[in-house]
Amino acid sequence: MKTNFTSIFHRLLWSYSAIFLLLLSAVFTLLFFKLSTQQVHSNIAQLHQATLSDRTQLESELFHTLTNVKAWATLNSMDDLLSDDIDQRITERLEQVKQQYQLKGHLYALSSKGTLVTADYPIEKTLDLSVWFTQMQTSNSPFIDKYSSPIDGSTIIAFWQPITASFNNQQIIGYLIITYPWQAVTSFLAGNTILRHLMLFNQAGIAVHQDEHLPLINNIAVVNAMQKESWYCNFLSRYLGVEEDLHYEVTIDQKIFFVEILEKNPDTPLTNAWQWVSLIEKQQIYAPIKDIVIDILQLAGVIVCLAFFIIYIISQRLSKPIQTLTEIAADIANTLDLSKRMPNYGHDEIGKLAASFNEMCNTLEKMWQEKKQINTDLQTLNEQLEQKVAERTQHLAWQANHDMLTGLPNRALLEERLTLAIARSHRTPSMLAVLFIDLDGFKAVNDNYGHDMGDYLLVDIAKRLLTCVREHETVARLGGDEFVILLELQKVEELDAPLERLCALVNEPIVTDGKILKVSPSIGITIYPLDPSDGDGLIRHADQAMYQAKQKGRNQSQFFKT
Amino acid sequence: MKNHTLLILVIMSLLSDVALATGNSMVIIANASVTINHLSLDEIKDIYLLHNRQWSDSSPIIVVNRPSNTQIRSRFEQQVLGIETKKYALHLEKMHYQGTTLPVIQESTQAVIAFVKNVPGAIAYIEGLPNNSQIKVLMELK
Repeated sequence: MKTNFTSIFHRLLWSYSAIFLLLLSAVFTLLFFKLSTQQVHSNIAQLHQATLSDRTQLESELFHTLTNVKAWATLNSMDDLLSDDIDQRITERLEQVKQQYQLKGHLYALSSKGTLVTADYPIEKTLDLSVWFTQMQTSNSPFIDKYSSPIDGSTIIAFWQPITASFNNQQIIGYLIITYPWQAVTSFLAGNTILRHLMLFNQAGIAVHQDEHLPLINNIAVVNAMQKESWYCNFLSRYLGVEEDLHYEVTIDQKIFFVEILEKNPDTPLTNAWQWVSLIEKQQIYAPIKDIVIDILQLAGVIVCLAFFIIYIISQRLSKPIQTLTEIAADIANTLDLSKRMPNYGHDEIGKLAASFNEMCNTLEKMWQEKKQINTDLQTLNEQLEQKVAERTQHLAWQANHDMLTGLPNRALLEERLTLAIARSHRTPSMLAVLFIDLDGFKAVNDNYGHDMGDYLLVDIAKRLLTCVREHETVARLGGDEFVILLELQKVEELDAPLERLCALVNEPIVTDGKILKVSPSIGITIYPLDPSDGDGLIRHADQAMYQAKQKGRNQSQFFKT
Repeated sequence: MKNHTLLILVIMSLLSDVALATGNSMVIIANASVTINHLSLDEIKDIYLLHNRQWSDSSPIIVVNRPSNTQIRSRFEQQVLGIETKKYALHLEKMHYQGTTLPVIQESTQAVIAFVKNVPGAIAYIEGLPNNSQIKVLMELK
């Protein structure tokens, strides 16, 4: 395959490639943007959901605890608060409950005056629990936020419930408190700190919980004061249909985080005690995007290679027929070989062009053949014509020198022959006899039988005369009924025999068509060199002699006498 | 070894009960806030059958019982109420289903005493006189 590409091929190749690349890059860019934003959004949404679910879980745990304390506050044995639990029924019950429910914290039963009556484990009854008592008197929430336990100083949260007498539910006979170690909350929230960090702030804005991985932020005011930047370009979000996000970008310790301050959720009243702040490291979110980019680029690379290949093939297929056409046309122009044809290219425009070209070649070839044929014919004709002309010329030449009727040489030829014969007679010791013959009675034949008969007679006589002469001798017709014979002889006496024969022959009647024609010769003879005249003279002399013979009575010969 | 100890304890409790039964009289006690100083058997019966649920000053009567399988309760039911255990239990159940608050159960004498001491309007029965000055004795059955 010749690698001589037409410019059409190049144009097709590059224009197709350009269009394709444009489309591809547009599509892929759009795709990438959409995908990446989708990905980031979905990741953040996922983590948000995780946070919410964690919160819900914590809420349910705490709610459980609250429900329990409410339930246990109504135990019948609680009446024993009035008897200071002398029988230790409350103690037993509390211990049992602690065992049964695997409580993380402790249960404490207080009297209506705030003194410790009993707990679920042996304890000093004289402990100062005024911190609890004050809280319970002043607050209308059964939840006590994070604080140090007055009993052992550990960090706890607590739930409390007033206990009423079974016989009088207006009378508060004491309080039941259940403590929940803060450690449990912290360890629960520390579940997924790889991607998402949590910070809890209490009502006063002080941080109550924080991931270890984060730098210390004590007050929510610090968070609020941080410079927030909306993390997505509004322009793009408008055109790509991405929602306006609710997250802010914040830089802490040179790391960029997405910060979300969760709203107070009416479904989780207990955990609403804290402000939930979730931080997500930007780098972590965008890390999988890099993988996506690499995947997309690889895919794009493969597609581009494939597309180039296809475009190359298509362009070639389109430009090759044109090239072939050019080559074949050039070929034909150079070699004049009209038998070449274009291959079949189907039914499209190129195919039709090829077919038309082929038809043209067919027609041209036919015409060419015809032309050749005509040429050949012409040549043949020409040759024939030449031949004819030659013949004609020959004939004309003959005609110029011969008598048409009898075929005998005419006067002109006779004079030539005569000259030659004279010359020959000069060279060789021979003599030349010139016989001038006139047919007696010829006119009568013409008049009686017509000119046709006369002609016939002349022809016959001519034939007879020819039998009297040898090859190199001449019989000529001068016209009318006059003949001249040239004879070559050595002696005069040699004339006798032919003369006789001649007379006999001419005298012989001609029979034709039921008619008998008779003529007789009058012959005048002169012999060169006895008569030393030239050709004309000789004929003249012979003619004179003939006239003399005629005068003497015809049917005889007469020699010329000077 | 254990079984033996248990057996001894049971026998001793029975004996103590018997001793008490023979030695100690049934005493009806009440909280110091109660205005009345004496009650008749019929009044006590009314109270323990939950027919009378208020003191004369309209404060509620907080009735204290011992657990239903104890000897002292049986004695009380027999001596003071004069009703069979089963009948009493049934009656209490009936009252419960009517929505009446049942008597508070206390398990030991000291618990009863502590309860009655602390709760205004409480009434209970014990065997033997209480040593507590803060408790009224309403009746003593010999």
